Amino acid sequence: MGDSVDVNSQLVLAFIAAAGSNGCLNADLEKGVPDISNENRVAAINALITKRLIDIFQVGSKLGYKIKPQDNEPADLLNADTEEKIVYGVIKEAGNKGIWMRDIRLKSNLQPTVLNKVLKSLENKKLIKAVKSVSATKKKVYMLFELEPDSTLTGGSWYSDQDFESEFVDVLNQQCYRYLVELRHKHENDQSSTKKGPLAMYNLSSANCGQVCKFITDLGISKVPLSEEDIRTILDTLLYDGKVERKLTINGEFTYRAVNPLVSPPGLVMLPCGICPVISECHLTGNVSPFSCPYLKDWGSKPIIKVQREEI
Amino acid sequence: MSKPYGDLCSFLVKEHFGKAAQAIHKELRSGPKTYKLILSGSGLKSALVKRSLCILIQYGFVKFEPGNNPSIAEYTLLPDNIILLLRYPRYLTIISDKYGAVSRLIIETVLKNGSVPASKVILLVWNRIQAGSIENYKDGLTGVRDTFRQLVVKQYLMSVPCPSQEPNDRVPDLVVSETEQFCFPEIEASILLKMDKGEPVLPPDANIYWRCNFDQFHQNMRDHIMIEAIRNRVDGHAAKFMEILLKKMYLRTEAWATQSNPVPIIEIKEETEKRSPHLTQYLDQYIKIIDEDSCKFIRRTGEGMSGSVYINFVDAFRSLTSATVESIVEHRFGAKSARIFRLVRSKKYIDQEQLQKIAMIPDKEAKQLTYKLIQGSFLHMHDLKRSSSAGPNKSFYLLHVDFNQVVHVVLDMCYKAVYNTLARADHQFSENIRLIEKFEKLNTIANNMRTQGEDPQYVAQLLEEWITPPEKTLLTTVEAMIEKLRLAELYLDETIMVLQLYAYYDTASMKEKPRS
Repeated sequence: MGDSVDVNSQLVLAFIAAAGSNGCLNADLEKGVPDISNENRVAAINALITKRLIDIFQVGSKLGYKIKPQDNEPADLLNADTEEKIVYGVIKEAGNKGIWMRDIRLKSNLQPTVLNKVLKSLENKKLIKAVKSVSATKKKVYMLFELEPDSTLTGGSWYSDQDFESEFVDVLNQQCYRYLVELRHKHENDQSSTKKGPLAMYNLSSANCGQVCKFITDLGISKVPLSEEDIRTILDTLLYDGKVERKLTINGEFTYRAVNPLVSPPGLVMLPCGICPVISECHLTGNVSPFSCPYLKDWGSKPIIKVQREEI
Repeated sequence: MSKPYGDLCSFLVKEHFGKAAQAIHKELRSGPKTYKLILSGSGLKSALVKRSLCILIQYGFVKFEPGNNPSIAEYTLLPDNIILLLRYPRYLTIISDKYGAVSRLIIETVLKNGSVPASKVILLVWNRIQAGSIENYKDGLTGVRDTFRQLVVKQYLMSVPCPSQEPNDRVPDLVVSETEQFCFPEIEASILLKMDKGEPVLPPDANIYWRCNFDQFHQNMRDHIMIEAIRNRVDGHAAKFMEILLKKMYLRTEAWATQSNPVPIIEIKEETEKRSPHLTQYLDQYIKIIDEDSCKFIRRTGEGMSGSVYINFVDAFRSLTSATVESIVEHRFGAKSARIFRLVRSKKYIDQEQLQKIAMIPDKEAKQLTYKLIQGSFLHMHDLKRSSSAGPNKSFYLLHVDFNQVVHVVLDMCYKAVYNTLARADHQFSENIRLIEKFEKLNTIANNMRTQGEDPQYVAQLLEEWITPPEKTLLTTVEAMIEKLRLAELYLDETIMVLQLYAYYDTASMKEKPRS
């Protein structure tokens, strides 16, 4: 009996393999191997499925089979059970973007409790790993153990362990600004560049991403290598800080240059009222009033009112 | 008119013209009213109401027009003129910087009187000169007259509309022709001399009243703001270029147009050759730099020396106001909030998540800062509802900045701040009024003693004894505080000026090309 199943399954497998990656329908199989009885054929197909040599699929109401692509599964998986293998397959498909537990459950049709057990055992075998995404810290996604998570999950250079490194960004922001300011200073105090005319000086005091990137790398403040793209995001924050100006050159790249603000601090902020957090509640009568205002009192007893802004 | 604005005007009227005028201001705040309504509303005596109304009209704070019933006048408040009271000290500085002390005295007299005949001003100024306001003045009475004429020619003074000659109108119609507005009638020196001696002569200009042409002063201030901005941005040479450009612009453009007519570069070059070789050499490059700067002050048409440049005031003041508002946001909410504010403005509409990513601020902090800005009305939320019949109804919230509204918020804040400084200074003064009065009394006594020939050292010693040290320290702190509050008032007015100019240019440009 065992032998006949083996022989039959060889025949069936050969036929299905011949059908290629599109597989063949059950009816085709019946015609293709006519000398096997229905029961034997079913037994052979079942044997092949347990051995994970073929896959079964449905087209409309008809059943079809196709050959399962042979992949190099890790040795640990060989003696794992079917559920583990299925889950492993689903996770593998997701690549380095990872996949949520919910999506695994939908794809594999497993019960949550079973799935949990399977995932845990796979994790213990170091076949898969759970990675937290920066965009949604509470959701875990699974991916194969050996994969490097995608930058959308890790957030790129600015994240370490899902935490945004705001100090790191701030330091880089300051250093980039320092570089641009010093560049401008250097040329403004240099007599020879003054002679070249304002436009030449303008261009000399501008820098592109590459130059800034090189400066930052030379400083050695970053442990991770920073790309020009990373530096550009930092320079853009400076742009939105209003400290630098960006200009598109003929080559299609941006140059950045430190600028002075157009106006010195306006009169409003010289006065405590300009920065008062409760100004909307300030009335002549009431708890917040200009008569009893402690801010005004402190400010009134200090001598200097307007400090000239330092020239860059 | 917003509430802080109205409150401020009311306070200014009270400070300068007293309680009765303030009561009338209160009546007129809600809209034009007839005399009878004002009378019954204010509950004041009719003589007082008439007098106060006259004064307010004289200073240009109230105007009258025939109402629905053409034979009854309706009085309307002009709050924009009242707020200018804050700016009077600045007008004086401008005029004394430009034309010297006599002009300053003339303008001061005109400002003090609201509207006034020329001969009277000349005599008042002459009296003050003789009393020793200006040392070594040699030009005499005619010199004062000539200075007055010069100020009229330079359009710092203008004549006030007079009642028209049609006798049938019950409400006089005030008219002034454009040509006569800046036309100074000849006043003979002999008449002035006679008036000075107190002889009863009728001056030839008794019916022509003069007042300050504030627009001319504002024009000076506007130019100053722009030149200083360019000096900040580029350098001194560029500022000089801007100055020359503005001067050349007046030759062919109305002063308050939203955009100047093109000025040929060759003409600017001729001017620079006289003044600065460095600027002449690099004129073309400077124009290029200012033209390409994000502040958008000038635009250039044509290449080389044959080209021309024009000034775009709308864009210029949009940039200036942006810089001002951004700076206020930075000081009020911190540098990171300013980053968010600028980012939202440059992207027009942006999602919260996108914002966090570009601004490089941790999510939690970014959210907090954003909501703080929204609370302060500096940012606005725009929600897009996804119309779906099934499933969870999800809507998107996009952040954006309604800049005109932000300017409005900041302006109100300024008005409130000025009001606070005024109120606080007033409060400080009235709280310590007894001390201040005592001090003044003692000073007068000491002065009298000095004039009577007492030993000055002895008087000073007495003065020391009369005032105790704690009183003295209190007095100095109070004085310092009041002085500082007054100074703050001037700085605040600078901010108000920029914002008001923005509002003016924005409306003016809207009128030219209506928003589609």
